[in-house]
Amino acid sequence: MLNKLFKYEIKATARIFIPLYITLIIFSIINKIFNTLPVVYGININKLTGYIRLFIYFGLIVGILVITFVVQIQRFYKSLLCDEGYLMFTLPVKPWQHILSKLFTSMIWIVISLLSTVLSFLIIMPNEGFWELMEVIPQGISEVLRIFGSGTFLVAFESIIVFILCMATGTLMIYAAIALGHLVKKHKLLASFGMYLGLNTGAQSIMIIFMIVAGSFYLKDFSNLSIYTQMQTILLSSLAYFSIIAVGLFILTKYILDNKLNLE
Amino acid sequence: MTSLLTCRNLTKSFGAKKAIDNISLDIGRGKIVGLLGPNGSGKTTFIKLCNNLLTPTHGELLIGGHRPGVETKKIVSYLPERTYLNDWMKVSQIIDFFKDFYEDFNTEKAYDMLKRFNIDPTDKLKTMSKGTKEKVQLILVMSREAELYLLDEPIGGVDPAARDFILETIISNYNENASIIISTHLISDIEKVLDEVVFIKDGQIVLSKTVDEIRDESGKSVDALFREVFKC
Amino acid sequence: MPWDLKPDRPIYPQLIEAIELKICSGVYPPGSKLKSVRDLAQEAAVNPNTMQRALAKLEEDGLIYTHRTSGRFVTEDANMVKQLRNKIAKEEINQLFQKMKILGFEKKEILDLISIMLEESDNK
Repeated sequence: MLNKLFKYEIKATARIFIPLYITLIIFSIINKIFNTLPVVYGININKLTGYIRLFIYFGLIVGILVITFVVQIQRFYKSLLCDEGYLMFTLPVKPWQHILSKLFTSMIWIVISLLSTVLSFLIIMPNEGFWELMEVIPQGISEVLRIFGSGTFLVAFESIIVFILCMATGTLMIYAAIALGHLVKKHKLLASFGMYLGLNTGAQSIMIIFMIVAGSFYLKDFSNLSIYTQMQTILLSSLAYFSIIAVGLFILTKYILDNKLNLE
Repeated sequence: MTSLLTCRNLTKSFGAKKAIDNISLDIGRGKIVGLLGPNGSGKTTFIKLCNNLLTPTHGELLIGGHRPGVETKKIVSYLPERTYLNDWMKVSQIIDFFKDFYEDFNTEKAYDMLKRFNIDPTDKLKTMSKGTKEKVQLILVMSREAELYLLDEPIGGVDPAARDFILETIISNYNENASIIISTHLISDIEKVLDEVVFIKDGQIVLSKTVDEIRDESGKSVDALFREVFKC
Repeated sequence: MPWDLKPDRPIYPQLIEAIELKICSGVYPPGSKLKSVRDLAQEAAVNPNTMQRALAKLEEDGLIYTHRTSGRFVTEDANMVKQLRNKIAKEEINQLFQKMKILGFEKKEILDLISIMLEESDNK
């Protein structure tokens, strides 16, 4: 069932995102072409259109990032807590499966949005810059390998996990806020917004507590430890932190959908 | 012979207000039951409880021996009052969607009914009128070979010809293993199709009899009795 | 022949009467096959259970019989149908008599009125 929900969630959202990504990439290519246009008949098209192109380009990037964020909200709110909820919640599916399918889909689009942004940068950047980058990256990698030695892969792996958990936490916080807002009779959206701020504050407070606790173990000796151990400390405590917050938000959202659902 | 739907001392409160107040009811298989009452009497709340869209405050509700949840959703087909269709799919896609999630969905039947209603499967849901969307919803619900059908105001906003077709579909879908609960105001149109009738007022059952019992005992149609019982 | 079901009387007895009428009037000739319960219910726009009960009663009375594999049939007993036809007619006439009595008609007046009306309907 989870697979099926996931499939439909992707279908519903791909219609929005794929055209955006394609537009971005095409525009990047067009931009690149413009950047390398020769001066013809004394008219420097490059310079003339420069500002407009820059404006549109950043508009697209910002647009994609904003839409990625907004779609998360819309898919949860509209699909589950508005009229469509009558369809979704009468499927022979448990509410937590709805939460997860939407969560995974959101995370995939976040990653693809970031990747397409990076890709568009690479396309646009001037050729010399590109080749410089191609030289710098292997240098950076070998430096990292030197510092962390055999522990590099573990650190890299943990970093990726932390990144994923961080994304998940962000999305789950949105879901939990919307679910909490749903409990209120009037001004649900406003309440959701307030809940989001509340949850955010709560999460940050917990983070500070975490840092104090984790810091107190190593405070005196921290700088004496190897960089590898320092990194591990930070990564593992981040892992623990995000896991706890993410699971807490998930359980909260699940509880509300299981027991406090009240579609209008 | 166990009944299909049983509820005992079922209560649902919203704060201080009891939308469903200590209801007990048994509905057997092979029955077409009318759930009749004025607005706010608790009909829709009851149906939502059956669908696990609301959770009871007290009491017990069993469908096919299970509490409302994933197992009951597999055998319950629900037509809500509002349109719940998403706006990005075509008709053929929502049919595939139902087929995907419900094992008992009969695709042939669905396409058959679409044809009879003159609805083009390649149309987008977004572009349809409200009335057409309601017909699509009805088709989706009746194409399932479910054990319990819950229809909330199925003939409300529909033209008389479609209304007749809906009643015909309800009759032709009949099988001894399944039951249909119809919640409606438009009693005179459907009372001949009903086995039993349950009058609900302020969250409580005030009457539960067969149509013929009512007509026999009161010398009136169910519609006429309803107007009497629920006179403002 | 449409199914004329009144809203203030129970449906079950009305269905029995309607089917009896269809049998007696030749809409369902003796020995003919009846539609399925579901089809009849759809035609009459009534609950299939009620239609089923009505058919069961008629079967009990002998007007209908079930052939296990082929379905339901009207009796071939033309005499039984004739008797039923007479019974229905008599009931109608009795009702007529009662009304005429209330209106204060005498027996001869009733006969004369009926004769005149029969002739008039012949001429139409």
